[in-house]
Amino acid sequence: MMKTMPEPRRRSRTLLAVLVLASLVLITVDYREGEGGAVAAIQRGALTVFGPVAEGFSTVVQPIGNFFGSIAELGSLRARNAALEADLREIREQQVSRAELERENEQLRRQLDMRERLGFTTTAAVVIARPPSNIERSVLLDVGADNGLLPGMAVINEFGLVGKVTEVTAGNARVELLTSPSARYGVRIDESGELGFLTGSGADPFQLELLDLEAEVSPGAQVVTHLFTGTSIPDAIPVGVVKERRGPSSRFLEVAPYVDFTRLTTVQVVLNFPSAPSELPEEEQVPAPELPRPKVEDSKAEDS
Amino acid sequence: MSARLLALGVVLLTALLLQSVVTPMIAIGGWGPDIVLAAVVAFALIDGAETGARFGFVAGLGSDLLSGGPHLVGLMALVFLLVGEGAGRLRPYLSGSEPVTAVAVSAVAGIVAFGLFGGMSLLLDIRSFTFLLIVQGALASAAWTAVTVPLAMVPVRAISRRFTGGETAATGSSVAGRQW
Repeated sequence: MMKTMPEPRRRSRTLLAVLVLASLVLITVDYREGEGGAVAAIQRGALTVFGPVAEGFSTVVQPIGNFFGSIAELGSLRARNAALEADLREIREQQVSRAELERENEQLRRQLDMRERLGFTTTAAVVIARPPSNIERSVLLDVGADNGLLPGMAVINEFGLVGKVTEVTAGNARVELLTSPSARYGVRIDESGELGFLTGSGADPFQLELLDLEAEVSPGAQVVTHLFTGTSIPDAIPVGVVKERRGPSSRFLEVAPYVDFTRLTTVQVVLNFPSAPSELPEEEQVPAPELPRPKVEDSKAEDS
Repeated sequence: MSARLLALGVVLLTALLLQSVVTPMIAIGGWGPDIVLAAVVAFALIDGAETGARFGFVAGLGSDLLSGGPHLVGLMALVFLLVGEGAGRLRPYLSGSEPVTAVAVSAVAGIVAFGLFGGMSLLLDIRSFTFLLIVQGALASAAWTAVTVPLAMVPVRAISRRFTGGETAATGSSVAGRQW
């Protein structure tokens, strides 16, 4: 006697077989007909109906989906954020260094212009350090004796005289700035030729003492260096502009510097200049006058 | 019966809409969940093989019709039909087991579904499937299905209880359904 299958199970197997068969028929028909067949047309019809429904549904669930999507992307977003921040830092650093390079380039170009104008032989130097105290008015350069530097050489930048070399090692040189209270330079009024001595005064304007006891110099007159015997400061380097009288006598004047001594980054050390005192005829040389140095005020008080 | 069919239709439509709209937003590494597959497996685990096969066939057909490109109509219907039937047949063996077993079954269902689909696509040369892609997809499908089936079982169980008609009604109750 033949064993029969329970009705539900038989029905289930029949259903399974029918559905499998239906699937295979659909696959076969779609495979054979391709894009132009009836199944493809039904597929297009289904998409036509479903499309607007999906669009409406999308409008509703988009914010929710975005929320879950952002959670799912949290890891990658963090990584991307970190990468972008790193890129931004790099770009900022590049911008800073680029701006710095452009500024330095412009500065050097102007310094070269001044060197060409004055006919000097110079070597470029970078200010690498300043003294730790506010009292000492000097800077340290990245060039020294190996680059031909000697004590006494003038140091200029694109605006004018910066100071002179006071100490030299093989690779470095210390420059006493024009603002140093111990600095004293022979200068002249560019227009009138009045001679005098310029003294640094810390953060305050330079003190100018004219040799002529009755000299009259108007504010705004340009002060330049003057070549004296025994110095290696070239002639005609711009120093500053006469600001006002200092006291009742017209001999004593205040001079505002051209150089911004707080922003020194690159300078030129004058190695040689065309009319050094030793090259001048004896009769054209002016001896350095022996004058008492003006009293140097307390630089601490000046700074404050 | 008609109310049950309507409820199943709503579930299917919702699953298709979620699959079309939401899934792309939550895909990880290009692999998103298959909500329709989750619904099929959920129905199969709660209502049994017959409901799983029927729902799987219709859901797969819906997915086929809404899939464009080189996709062959009937392929997903066959895959979901077989997965629904297979998961439903495992339902009695889930009796008394921990929920983790149902999660494991879901993961296997995910692997089988993607494996069958990828394998048949490879055989029919209708998609640029490779063996590596099938392995990756099967693993992703396993993970997503294991996560989404327990979530899908919540509304499916409610519908199954509200609109009886599956094997749950015929046999009294689903042990697996009670588990979840």
